[in-house]
Amino acid sequence: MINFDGENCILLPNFSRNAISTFQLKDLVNNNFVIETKVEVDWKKLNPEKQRMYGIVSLNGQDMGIFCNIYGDVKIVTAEVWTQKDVGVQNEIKLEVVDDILDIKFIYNHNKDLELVVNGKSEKINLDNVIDYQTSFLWIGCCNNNLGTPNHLTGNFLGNMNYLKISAGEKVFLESDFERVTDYKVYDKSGNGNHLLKKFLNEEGQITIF
Amino acid sequence: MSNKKQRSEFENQIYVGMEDKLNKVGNGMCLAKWSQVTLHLQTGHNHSCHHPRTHKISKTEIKRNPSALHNTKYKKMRRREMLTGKRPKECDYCWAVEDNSDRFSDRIFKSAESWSAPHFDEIVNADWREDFNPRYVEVAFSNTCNFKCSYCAPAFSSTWMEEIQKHGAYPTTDRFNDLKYNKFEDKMPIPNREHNPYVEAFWKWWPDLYHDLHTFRITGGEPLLSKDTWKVLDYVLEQKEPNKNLNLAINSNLGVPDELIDRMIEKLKRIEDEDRVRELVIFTSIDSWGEQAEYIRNGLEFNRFWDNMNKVLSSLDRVVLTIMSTYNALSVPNYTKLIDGVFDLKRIYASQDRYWNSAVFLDSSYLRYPLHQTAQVLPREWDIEILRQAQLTDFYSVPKFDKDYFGYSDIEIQKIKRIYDWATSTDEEKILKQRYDFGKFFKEHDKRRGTNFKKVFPELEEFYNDCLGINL
Repeated sequence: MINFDGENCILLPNFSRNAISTFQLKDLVNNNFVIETKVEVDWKKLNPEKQRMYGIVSLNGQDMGIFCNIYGDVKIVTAEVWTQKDVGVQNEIKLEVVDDILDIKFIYNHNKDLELVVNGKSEKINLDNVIDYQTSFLWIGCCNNNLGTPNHLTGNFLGNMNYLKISAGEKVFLESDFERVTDYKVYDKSGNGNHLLKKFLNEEGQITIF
Repeated sequence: MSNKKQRSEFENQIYVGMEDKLNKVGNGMCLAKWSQVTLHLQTGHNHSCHHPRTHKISKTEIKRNPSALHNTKYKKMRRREMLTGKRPKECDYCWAVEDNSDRFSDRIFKSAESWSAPHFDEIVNADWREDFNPRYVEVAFSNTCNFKCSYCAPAFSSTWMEEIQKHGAYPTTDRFNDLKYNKFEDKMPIPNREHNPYVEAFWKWWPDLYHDLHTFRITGGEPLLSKDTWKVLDYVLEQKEPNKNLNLAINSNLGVPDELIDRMIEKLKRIEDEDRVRELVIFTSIDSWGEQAEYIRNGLEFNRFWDNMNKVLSSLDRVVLTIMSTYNALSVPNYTKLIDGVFDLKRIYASQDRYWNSAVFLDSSYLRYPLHQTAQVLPREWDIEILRQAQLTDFYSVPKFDKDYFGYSDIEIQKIKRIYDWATSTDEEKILKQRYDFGKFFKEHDKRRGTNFKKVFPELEEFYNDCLGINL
């Protein structure tokens, strides 16, 4: 289990300093993939006036992934992806939930459809001309923490994550129960070497890739 | 062929500048021929840079000039070639790199080192006949060693010598460790009990050499079993004006009797406390974990070795321990455990006081010879295990390589990744003979040394049986 306190987050960049991954993020995003995660949201601490969305799992840019927020008493989990024809279009699925602990599945068929399943409740939308996410980083526990991201769009999550698995068909891309960690990384059990980086900033305030 | 290359602004300007300076002297110029030497005093051989083959030191020369341990007539002729625009043939490793790629060759790297570059003018302005005190010296005083690691040789291990003298060469196709090669190349080691004129010359030269040294590294054999190692340490301790710029390094298998380990620690602690050197590094070796590591390095008691690493690191607050791991076929099944174990040491002994950024380094280099024991000999399905090991070190990596963090540095990760790259480049059609020799070698190994390959390496039993079944 990993706790997100509104400051920390973890990430997988689209390259690695030691070029050690056998299944890179840029090879995942333009294919079909499924994100499965189990989170406990600290709904009381969420505030839509401070953050547009709180990121659970996100590919940054025109963000794609799983997000949440609370509006009054209404707890919402959102799946989002952007498409582009003449202009960019934000495609969303919003599911209202009642629980704190959520089993979430984000089922993406590239350029075809997207399905969001939360604690057994689901909704699906069709997609076409999805934008290219090959330059995105994968963020866990925020929307985007790159230097220069406006504060209200960083989306730093509040709550716990117990499990995360991303797979493409039969092939697991990344899997973690967050039990095996160092001060700087989270172990990826998939065998691809996609160990997640804890957020470290260099002197210029940029994310350190290592 | 001209080696004038187009260098971009993105290349390391230190190397670009050094290449330019060297080539103005000559396309074969390399400062290491003056500034660096490895002395194999047990056989009376030396070489400057590890790429050229070693050559014999003349006993007559060193009688009148002990610095001829390094400044041999043979080497001076090579220096003359370099100063007159020629490329010595013995340095063909670098010429191959320069003629076939845009990479910098090792002559550039070695000339740019802090033990070479400051002496550029002194070297190029001197006559080729002049003696020059090297700044980086590696020395083996003797081949006395209580270990006989499976890939080692009689020239570096007295226990290997005893075994070969008793049983002869191994029945591989290349007759591994046949003494006829040592005899042919005049590399029969002088036994420790006999007078060694090269060691005698070294001690005559040493007072003159000591204050010029940048780096001095004692190798072997097992240096802690050589009286000359202790003599060096005592010399450093006794100097009223010690060479405080010296980087002193000692290799040890850390498998010698406790009293010798304690004696080393006591002397190094005094050197450390009295600030008698710039830095102290102990190089040791292990290639796998537990019983498998013991099999590879015959003589090793794994638990005692690990205890001794802890003892060194806990007793010596500033010393750095570098593990030179000779990654070979038998390393593959259990190297993961070694990576985990070394990470624990890095965590426990991380300190702002160490000479280097990390208390412990795992320096993984692939075994090239003997061919029958390299990582390439294994079936290719083992390659992914090597990559997983590189990925594991990457998991243990640090965001920034300085004393505030503990973990694996990029170079430690890359060296394991390089083993994977090398293993996967294997030409499967050429590997049959090596596999045949693998079977022959370890069958004979078990017979001579009372070991049991299949019991220690159950993961490799099927492969071993296949090797034993090969008919050439």
